Amino acid sequence: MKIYLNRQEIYVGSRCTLKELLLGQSITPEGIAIAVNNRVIRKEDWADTFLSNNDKVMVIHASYGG
Amino acid sequence: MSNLIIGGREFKSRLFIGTGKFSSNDLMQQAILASESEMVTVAMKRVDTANPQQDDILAHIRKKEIQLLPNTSGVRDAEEAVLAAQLAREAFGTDFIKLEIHPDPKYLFPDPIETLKATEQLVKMGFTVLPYIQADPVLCKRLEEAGAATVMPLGAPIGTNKGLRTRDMLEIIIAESRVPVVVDAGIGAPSHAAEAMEAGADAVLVNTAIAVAGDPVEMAIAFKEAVIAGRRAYEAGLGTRSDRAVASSPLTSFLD
Repeated sequence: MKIYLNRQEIYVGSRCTLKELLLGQSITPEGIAIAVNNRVIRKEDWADTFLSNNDKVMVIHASYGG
Repeated sequence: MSNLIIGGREFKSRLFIGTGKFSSNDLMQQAILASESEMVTVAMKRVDTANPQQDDILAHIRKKEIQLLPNTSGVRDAEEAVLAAQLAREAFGTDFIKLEIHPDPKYLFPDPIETLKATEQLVKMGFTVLPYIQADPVLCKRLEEAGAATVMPLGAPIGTNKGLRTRDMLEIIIAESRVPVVVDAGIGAPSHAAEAMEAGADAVLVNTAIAVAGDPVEMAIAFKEAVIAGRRAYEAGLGTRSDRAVASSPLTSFLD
């Protein structure tokens, strides 16, 4: 199925969790936060959160700023 | 010199530092250490999925004395700011949030209405909210009533290095505020920081002036010293001003 990861269209398996998504994309799970369709999903729920078709996943990390 | 308390945490340093615009991580880290700052801001961005293994900026900042202050830069309204704050809490494990909502790219002026709205919501959600705002005494009181942990009025627009152009309003804010006043933005020289501290500001936030200095580490030390000098002077009590001379030596003639 198709999802959007940080605005990029990607394809994942039909029963893909957030945790599997990170693994598949080689994204280090430390120092990041995730929102699915603008709702923050806590780290402890990543393994149980299944993605749905057309989900918009946002993964952020620290950047430089004042 | 007294300590500063924000959100139940005590700070010895009254100099907050931003991490933008440094030419390298190494210089940034050295400047932060030299400044002895205990409050360091970070921004957030989306992970680049094409290159997810990027350098971890937090590794250059994290120390037990340093409180991370994530900001909400890049958001356009209260709704986005609340989402950004929740992301920051999740990513960095802190309730501290520097709320900045400045959709206008030319002056980066903060939107007061959205800032107040977001503060009200974030306080209810348990955040320690440090809102970046115009030097507006009425807005500062409204934010204080909403439960903001500090107010962060600007001296001049972000990155301009122009100093305390809002000085008269800052003085009113300092006189009336029951929460710490942190002068943010526009501080371009150690003398500006000292001026804010002498006027009774509780802290200053400096980024550009240190990051783009010829020698950022030396400049960080200069700011550290200016902030300490300004605060000491404020606590010592400055003399009153006069429009005419007031002799400091005896005027009676002793030579015949």
